[in-house]
Amino acid sequence: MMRNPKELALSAVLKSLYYLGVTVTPELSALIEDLIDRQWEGRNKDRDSAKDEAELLRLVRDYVARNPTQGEDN
Amino acid sequence: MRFLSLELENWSSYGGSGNTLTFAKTPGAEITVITADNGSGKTSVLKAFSFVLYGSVNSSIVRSGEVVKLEEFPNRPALESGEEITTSVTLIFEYQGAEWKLKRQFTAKHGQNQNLIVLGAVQTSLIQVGKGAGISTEKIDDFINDNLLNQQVSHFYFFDGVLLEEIQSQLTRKDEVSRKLVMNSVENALGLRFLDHLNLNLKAGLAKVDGEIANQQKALRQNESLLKKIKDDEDALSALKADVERIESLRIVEVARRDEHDRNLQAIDPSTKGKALERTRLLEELNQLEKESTKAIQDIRQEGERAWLAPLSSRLNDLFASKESEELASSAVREAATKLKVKIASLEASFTGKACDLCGNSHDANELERLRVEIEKLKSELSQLPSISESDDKPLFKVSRALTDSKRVDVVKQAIAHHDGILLKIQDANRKIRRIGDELGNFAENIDVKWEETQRAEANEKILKYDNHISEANSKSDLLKSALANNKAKLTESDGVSKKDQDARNLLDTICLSIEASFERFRDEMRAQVEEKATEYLSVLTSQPEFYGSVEITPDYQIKIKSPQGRVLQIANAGHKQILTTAFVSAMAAVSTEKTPFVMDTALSHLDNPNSRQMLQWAKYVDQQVILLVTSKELPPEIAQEVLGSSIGRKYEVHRVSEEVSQIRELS
Repeated sequence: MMRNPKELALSAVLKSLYYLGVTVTPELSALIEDLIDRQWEGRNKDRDSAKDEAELLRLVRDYVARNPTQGEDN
Repeated sequence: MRFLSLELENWSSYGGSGNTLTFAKTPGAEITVITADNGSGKTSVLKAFSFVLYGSVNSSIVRSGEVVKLEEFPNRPALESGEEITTSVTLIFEYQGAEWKLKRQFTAKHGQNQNLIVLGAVQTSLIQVGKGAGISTEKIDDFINDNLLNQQVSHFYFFDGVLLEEIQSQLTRKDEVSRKLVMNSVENALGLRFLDHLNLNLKAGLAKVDGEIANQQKALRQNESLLKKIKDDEDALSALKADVERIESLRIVEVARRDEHDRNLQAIDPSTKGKALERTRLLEELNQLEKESTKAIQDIRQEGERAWLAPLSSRLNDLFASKESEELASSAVREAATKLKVKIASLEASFTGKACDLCGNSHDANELERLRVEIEKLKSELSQLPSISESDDKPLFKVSRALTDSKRVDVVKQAIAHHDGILLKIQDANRKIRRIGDELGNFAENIDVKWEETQRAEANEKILKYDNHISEANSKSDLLKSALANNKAKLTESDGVSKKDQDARNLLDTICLSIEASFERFRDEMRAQVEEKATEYLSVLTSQPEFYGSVEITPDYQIKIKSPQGRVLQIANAGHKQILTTAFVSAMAAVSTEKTPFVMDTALSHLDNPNSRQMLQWAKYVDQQVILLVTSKELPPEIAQEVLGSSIGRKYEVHRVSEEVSQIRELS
């Protein structure tokens, strides 16, 4: 069963997260997939990297807003 | 992406317009075969793809990257007229369900010495067919590279036999630089670099969040510093306030004291106040008189000693006149003088020991008067003595001379009179003081106007000092309040480090770590897939699958073929190398998500008949559009028909009508 680079990358990153001791929730998995999708779409681009960075950061911030960690807010 | 058609206008040997190749696109019949003899214009078609997609024609990206000059492509017969001609290539393709028309064109003419010159820049347009919507000119190249096929990896899809050999050669080179180039090229083609880019982009995001957190921490530190300053200022303000309160309480005491003295002064009626002041003045005057009296006494003492001897001198003179015995006279005078001196000394001692009641000095006029009487008595006694000759220059005469200065007596008298005057004044002042004292009674003893005024002035001075202190403290307070207000205004809304930012930072860090840890796994898995697919294609491509077990791709993309027993096989045959390279290239295409057509020029030229057939089998096998540019020798029509059969969707034949004119004819 052939898997495309996106699927393989997702699988590899999720495995690494697991080995790092991170609990990979469906939400976190979805975020990693979003990040990979977003970067894959721009894989041939060597321009507008700032835009790409901003978009990726937005995805992470959105995730954090939806999934706050335990602990007191400062 | 699927190619639908390619139209050549005055492109190379394809003069005029209407030179159109329409490509097979039906699934299962996606092979287009274009047959032409050598030199008939096959490679021109391959180069037309390069030109229309990228605006330039690379002779070979892998080989040298050398760009072929556009001057080589305008159709020369069309230029014979001497007019300017337009050369264009139009590619219509299907992308994400829509039809797009990409056209590039330029104008050329003959220059001097029959050289061709290109006039102006290449004009490019890309529009969506049927919708009229287009991509703006400056974004077309980006659109193609980003969405269709990046030029950097286009050689894996557009190649001829020579290029395949180059790829194969690159893949087998062992020097480190070549390996890195190959790795870079292959990984770009596979799209593997995107994970590196994802990591870099996330790290950039991480740096940004870190910057924001650092700013928040800085703001927090600034706030803490400001809060400390504010607290210090507030403490200082409190201390000043306490100080002012303390001074104000002292001031109240002094004000009360001043008011009391004010009241005392106001309570004294003007006449009483006048008398009190007069008494003070008299006391001062008395003091002055007593000083004068002391001085007068001293004057009297100085002059008195001689003055008192003057009468004795007179008596001696009388004695001299009577010419009494010198010795007797002398003895009497001596005796008298001695007595007189003893008496004077006695009187003086008594005089000195008697102190004045007022000034403490002895200056009793009565006593002096008594002394005079005593002297007169002595004179009387002396008159009984015999006289002494005036001519005798004897001690008696000297005594007489010393006693003759009667003027001294007058001086003493004057001094005594002066002193008497002073005494009168003293008595007068004492009398007045006593009188005023009697008039003022007890009140006068308790009230001292001058003292009251002094006390009042002292109280006022202290009040002034306290006022200055309070004023200074208030100024300091104002400054502190101003500093407080400023510092409070500088306090930001910082609530410390945002938890969301901290969460984002930690998450980004974790994701970056996981990506870095996954690079090798990801590459290994991709390579394993390419190996698997290349092995699969190799079995399709080779006519001797029994000799080949598998394709092995090393981490730096060296390709090896192993026997079924796992032994690495040496491949010397050029045809076999081409097959292996084709297997690898098509495996990469299959593994990557790019669905770009293969355009292969003379791809069968190095293959023997069996392997050519296998290559055709592969063209059928790959799930992609394939455009084969072949000579009739390398792929005879009957073989093409026999092997490919219904997989051929379109067939063309290119004829070389003359040296520089080709014609396209579609075959049924």
